[in-house]
Amino acid sequence: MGIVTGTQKPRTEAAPSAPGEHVALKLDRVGKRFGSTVAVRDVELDVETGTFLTILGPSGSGKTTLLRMIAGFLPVTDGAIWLAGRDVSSVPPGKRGIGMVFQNYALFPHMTVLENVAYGLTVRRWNKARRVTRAREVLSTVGLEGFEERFPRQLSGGQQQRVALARALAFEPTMLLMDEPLGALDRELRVRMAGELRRLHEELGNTVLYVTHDREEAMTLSDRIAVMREARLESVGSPQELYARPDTAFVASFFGGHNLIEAEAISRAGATATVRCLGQVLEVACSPRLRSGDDMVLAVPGDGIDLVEPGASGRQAVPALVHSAVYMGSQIQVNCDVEGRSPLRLRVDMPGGRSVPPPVGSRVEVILRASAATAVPGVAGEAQIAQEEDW
Amino acid sequence: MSSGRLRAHAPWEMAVYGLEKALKAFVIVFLLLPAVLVIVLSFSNDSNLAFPPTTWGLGQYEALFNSDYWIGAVGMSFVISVPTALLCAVVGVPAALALERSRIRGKGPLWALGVAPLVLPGVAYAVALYTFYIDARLIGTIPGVVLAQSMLAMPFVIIIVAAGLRRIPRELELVAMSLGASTMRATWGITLRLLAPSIAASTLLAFMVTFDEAVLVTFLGGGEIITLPKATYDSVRDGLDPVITAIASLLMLFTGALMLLTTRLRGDGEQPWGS
Repeated sequence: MGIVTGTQKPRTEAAPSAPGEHVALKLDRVGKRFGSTVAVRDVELDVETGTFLTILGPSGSGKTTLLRMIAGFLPVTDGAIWLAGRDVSSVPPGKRGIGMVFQNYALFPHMTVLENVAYGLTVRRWNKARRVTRAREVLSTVGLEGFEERFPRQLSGGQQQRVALARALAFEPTMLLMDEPLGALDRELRVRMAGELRRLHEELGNTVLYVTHDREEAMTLSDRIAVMREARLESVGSPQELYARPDTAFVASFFGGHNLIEAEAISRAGATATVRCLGQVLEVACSPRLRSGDDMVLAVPGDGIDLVEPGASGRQAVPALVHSAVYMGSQIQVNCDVEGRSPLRLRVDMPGGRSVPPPVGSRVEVILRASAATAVPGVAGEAQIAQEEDW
Repeated sequence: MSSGRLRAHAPWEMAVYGLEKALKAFVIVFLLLPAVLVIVLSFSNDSNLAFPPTTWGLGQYEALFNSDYWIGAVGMSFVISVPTALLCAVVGVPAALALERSRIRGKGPLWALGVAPLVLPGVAYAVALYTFYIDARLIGTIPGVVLAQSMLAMPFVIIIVAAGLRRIPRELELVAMSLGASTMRATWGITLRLLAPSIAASTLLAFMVTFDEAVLVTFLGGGEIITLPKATYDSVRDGLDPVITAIASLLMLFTGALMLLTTRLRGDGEQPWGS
């Protein structure tokens, strides 16, 4: 089902030591300290040319600081940043060849749309005719022909964001950096703009580094996602990898929205483990990050749990009470409390359509599907909090 | 849905409306009426101030423009106010930039220091400066008065420019830099360009504040520096010369026009891109 592009690598592979031609951006143990507080710690990341990579993390996780260091607005205090095979750690922003798009658009209010888009070319001393031709060309790429002589304040939010995008693309940067570019738009427009960003990326084949705290945006846009947590890079992978096989409890909860259930290891053989969870014995996939002796939880997506009538299944069922059930069209989201294990509340995504949500307060049985579950390192409570804060 | 009938006004609401009307009347009578009265009187040809005038004409204005004393005072006012306003801009704009945009330590105390003259009692400040100026031999000198006036007018520049800066997103400069502009070019071409209306408005205001100021000039001018407000004050003390009605009228017209210009500039500052 997944789109597998040739540029993707398995995330378990070690980072290559020398950045080659195909690596657009290489972060080599990058860190940032403000006095005694550490905003970014030891980030190692390779972004290959032509990849759309999203840095996803809750607010305060250090993702914006990281982006600003890559753009050159903040100096790194540790490590090095390589762009297209060149160490740019002490190169000023204007010489890095990076196009930047901010959440608040940051259009120059005293310039027309055309002047805004051509600014990077004016600074580079292109002659007027070339400037105008190129600016018009980029404006048509983002679908804004005929708006050249308008001023930013005469445009809607979505149009302003397109101008910002055109301005960042006009000088053909080696890389595009976007800091929550859709954050200020309303939901419907956000979804439409996300679709357009993706289309544009596929059309231009450029390297994009995108920062957001919105997991849906990350999921729909990205080739690869780097999840940040508390100044560190928690995990990197394709959306499919991170959703189906999260490697830590935080990734499972924050990115996948998975249930985290306490479990106990019985035995382990390479990538699979036998665990006891809610009284059931399950053979599940095992995160390579899980070391013996670590705290372990079982990450189960909402669609990896089945709800059945009491008594309809065999011994493997776990009794639960329906706490709430919301019909959402294609699916029904049910929250149910596992009996005798409070406060364990599970989120179950039942198929929607013509199905009727189970009545609140009714007794059901839940069945964990072993094939959907992953044993990951972490503690149930801690990651759950991160999820509630940022969802 | 509910009954569509309009709610009757409660008695206390009526009282508030009444109070508002009384306040408006008060403002008109005590603030505007004297001003109007002065303008009316300036067109009187009587040799002493009396209302209503018995003869009308432009006599006061003629006397004003034929008097070396008054013309000299106007000239001196400009000699003091223009350098003061420029000095305030040259020092105040970078100060506001530093207070708003830099990462210097102790911004709170620095800010307080910058705007302190606004709340300082003018006479206390003048007396303090007087003793200091005697030792520094600055009494009665133009640089001395300009320096003292700049201290008083500086807060207006700092406050207005800082407020203008707060309306300009920092990202504009960052974007310009990412597009290849040098720090210099980003600051001058973007931030200061967008700040220009605020800078102009604040400089005008500093000029106006100085132009109207009489206390400092009286203390530090040493009798040689006679600006328009000082001359007006002296003339009232020595006996009522009806010429001051003409001076007052022109002064009101002048500062009123400047005030309008300032608000226009600041209004534009919110949308410097015009239409």
